[in-house]
Amino acid sequence: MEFTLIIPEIIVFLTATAILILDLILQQEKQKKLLGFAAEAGVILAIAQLVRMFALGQQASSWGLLTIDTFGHVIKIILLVSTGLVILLSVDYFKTIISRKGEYYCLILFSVVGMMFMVSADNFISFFLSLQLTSIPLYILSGIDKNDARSNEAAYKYLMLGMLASVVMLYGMTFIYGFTAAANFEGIARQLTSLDLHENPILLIAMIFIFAGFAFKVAAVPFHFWVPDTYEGAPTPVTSFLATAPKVAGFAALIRLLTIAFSPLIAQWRTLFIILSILSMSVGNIVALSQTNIKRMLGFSSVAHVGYILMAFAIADQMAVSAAIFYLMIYGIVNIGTFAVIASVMRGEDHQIQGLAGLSKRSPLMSLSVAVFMISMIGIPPTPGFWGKFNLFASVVNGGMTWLAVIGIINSIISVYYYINVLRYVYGDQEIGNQQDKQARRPADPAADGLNNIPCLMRLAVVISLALTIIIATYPQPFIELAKAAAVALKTGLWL
Amino acid sequence: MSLPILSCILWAPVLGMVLILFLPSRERAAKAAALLGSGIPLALCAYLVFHFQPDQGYQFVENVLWIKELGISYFLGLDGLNLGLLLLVSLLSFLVVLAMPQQKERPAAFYFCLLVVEFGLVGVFLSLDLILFYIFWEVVLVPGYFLISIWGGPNRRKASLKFLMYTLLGSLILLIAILAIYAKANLHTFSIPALLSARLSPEFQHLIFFFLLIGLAIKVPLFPFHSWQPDAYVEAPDSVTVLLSGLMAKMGVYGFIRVGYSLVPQGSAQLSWLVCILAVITIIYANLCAAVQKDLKRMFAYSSLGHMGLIMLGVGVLNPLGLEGSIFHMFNHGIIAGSIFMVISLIQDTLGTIEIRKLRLIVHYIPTGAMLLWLFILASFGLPGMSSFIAELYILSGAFQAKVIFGIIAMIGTIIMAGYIFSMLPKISFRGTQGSGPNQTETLQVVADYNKKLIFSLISLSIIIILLGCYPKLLLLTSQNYVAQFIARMQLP
Repeated sequence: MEFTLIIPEIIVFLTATAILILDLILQQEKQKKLLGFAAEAGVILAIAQLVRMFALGQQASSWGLLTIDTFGHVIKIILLVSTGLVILLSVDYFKTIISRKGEYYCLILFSVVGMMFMVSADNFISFFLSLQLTSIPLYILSGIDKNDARSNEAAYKYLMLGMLASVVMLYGMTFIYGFTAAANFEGIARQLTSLDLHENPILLIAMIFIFAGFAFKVAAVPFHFWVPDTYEGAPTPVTSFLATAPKVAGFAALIRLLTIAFSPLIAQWRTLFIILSILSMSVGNIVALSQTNIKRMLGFSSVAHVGYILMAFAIADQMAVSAAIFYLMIYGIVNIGTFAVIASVMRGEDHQIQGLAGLSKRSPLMSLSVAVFMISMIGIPPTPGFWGKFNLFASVVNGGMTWLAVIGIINSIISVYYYINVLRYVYGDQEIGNQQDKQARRPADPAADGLNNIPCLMRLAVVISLALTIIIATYPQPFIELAKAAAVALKTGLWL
Repeated sequence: MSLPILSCILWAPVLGMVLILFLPSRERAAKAAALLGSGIPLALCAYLVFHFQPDQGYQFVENVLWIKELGISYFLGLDGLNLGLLLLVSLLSFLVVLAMPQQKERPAAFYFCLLVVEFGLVGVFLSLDLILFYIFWEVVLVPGYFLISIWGGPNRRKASLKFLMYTLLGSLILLIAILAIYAKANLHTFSIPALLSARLSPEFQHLIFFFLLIGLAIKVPLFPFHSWQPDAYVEAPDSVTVLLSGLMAKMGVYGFIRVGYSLVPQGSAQLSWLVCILAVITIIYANLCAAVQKDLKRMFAYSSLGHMGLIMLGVGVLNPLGLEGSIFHMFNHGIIAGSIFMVISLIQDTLGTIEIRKLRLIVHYIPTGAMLLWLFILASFGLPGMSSFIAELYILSGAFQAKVIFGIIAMIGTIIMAGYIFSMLPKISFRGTQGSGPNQTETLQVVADYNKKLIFSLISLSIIIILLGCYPKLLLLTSQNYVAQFIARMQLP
């Protein structure tokens, strides 16, 4: 075994352990800020190592449990960049709220280690272990604000449903193992080619069980019921983490599983993903229309975005998969940016959309960022969201499913309403602002609310996301190439 | 290396935007920055007009590969089709910034949005790459939404949302069509000149033209996709109505000629009757609606819709006369509709109302304004000696050449128009006695100080109209070569 290949994982793991020890040494509450910086440093170091490994462009190497390849590098970079932004956001956010900061950073990093292994896993055993390593810290994280009843509710719901999904998934895996006598993805693929689905219909059920687990992880309809409550209840930085990193990792693992282990059954699972995709888009968008809480709304909007990404699995050629990876990058950055703005301007509030009224007067930078992020989520050019949707729709049309793209487009139109609604409050006309001001019982002086002095690290998180957004908007070429390189690197029979 | 002049025109409004964002005391300096941002394109356009060669194809071309993976390039060029439109955009945007009264609320943001709209419009008309074209097409949308929803009239919320969602639906359908053409042509490029030579099967062309028809007809708009248009025009602040009617409406027609008819020639040639039918229905419907409107802005919102129908009829009949007339009329109608809405805003500002029932004796209260109103309305009707007479003559003869029935229906539309403008104009101009108007006491004092810059702009626009009316060759000549090539391509098997 070559340990040099998992240096990024080791770095993140060691940082997490170091933070636990550091937490014991640092006694004063003031010094605890250092923990955040330590976590950030570890993440940046891991990114640097990953970039170096990506640049070296080594051949994929596998030792039975993990495959280290370019696909993994790219996804891990996306994961770590979003984690870095989340940590940046957390340092000031949790200044007062939670007492156990050491555990917070440590849990985030352990979860990321899990995700990084999950992305590389090419075996049911390593996959399930890393899935658990990912999930358990997430359950705790969503309840980290233990004095807040909603945070507790969020954690409890997420835990119950999450465990159920894991168990169902494990059940499905045992069936597959029973049929193929292999836990290794390539071994499964070899066995599945020789099995006839008509004689073994149980295979299909096993596959559905496994997909149900994934659908829960990435929050696709009809396994999305935890999303609104968990997103609303968890502290905002945790929500931003929940909304991005596990989804990126989940999709990446799904891509590896589908294109390698289940490649012989492509005809069957394509149909499944068409259904999942249409359901997620439509339900997500339609339910989001009526939300008044911005975190719930973003929760449903993320369900809709998952639906768009799932369109790529309905095509499942190389172009579609790279479009999905590209979309994940953009989704991650834009989503974290949006949550960063919410965390900065809506601390200690109940996150009603009306709370944003008149933001353009209070903070031009934040309102500009919200505008860019919302327009990007709609997918109006020239924003990264447009390039993401453009690539996705192009691959769907190219794959000969124009009708699916049309459904995607109808959904994009529906989504305009609720995204623009946010901007209407932010830039809103005065009347609405004033009206809502009275209803929302806002403090007379916003400065008293501490909203006018946004801590500089939060501001930095927003600015970094905004800058990345603008860079992708104007020059998407390298990012598209990155996504393509990731898709090409997959050792699958589907596009060889 | 010579100066990339088209890029300078395109990016000058962005310079203005940056100035607005970063200048101190931005509320006061905003207008100056906006004047700079819209003045540079106008000056450069004047240069282009003198150096444009009517008998050549694409000129002043700039082509840089932007996204290699997808074959998207930054490809700008000028030909007989977009020269007039580019001129129109830079002229009207400049005059709107210069002459229209400044918004009281958040002027900096207002001018910022106006400049974004100008940026998008120039981009749409100059792009020769489908995706670049589509990006600019959408760039216009969001500031347009904000302009209506922040500074608009009482029903702005509904109107702006309808505008945004309706036109976004249209443009996404357009996007699907573009992607399908890209996938089928298999040339790995979005460049329009390159895609002209793509070989696409007739069945596929039919299907794509149908998509393009819906997507573009929403933007024009054509009946039955027009319902966003009157609301948006009426609720938008006056300066934005000028841009909406004068410029944005031309995007749809331009899209039909540049993308729809050019890229799927066979499909469009065979389905062109559908465009003609929608166009004539639009003409009759819009003029009938205009006839019963109670205020001037709404009346001319519908009347403008009727003119768009006429322009689309000229495109749809697919003969040189009709197409030349349409390209000519796009420029004319831009200027005339823009001017009419400017005069209406003048009347609103000086007399405090634009309701036809309440307006009396405007020749007495604002003689210059009344004269200009007469002039532009008659121009829009197509009085001989005005530019639109020539344009309508071309379009109608084109229609008669193609199918007599289309010509007759279009004529009937013009007759309806004569009916309502000749009953409305005398009513608001001469009716009543002095001192019987609702606001007679104040208005007499306001008359003295109305907006001099606006009057100056309107007079210069009227000179253009009369000049082109007497000597239409100035503009017609530039498009002849393009039209000849276009028709030749359409008639290939």
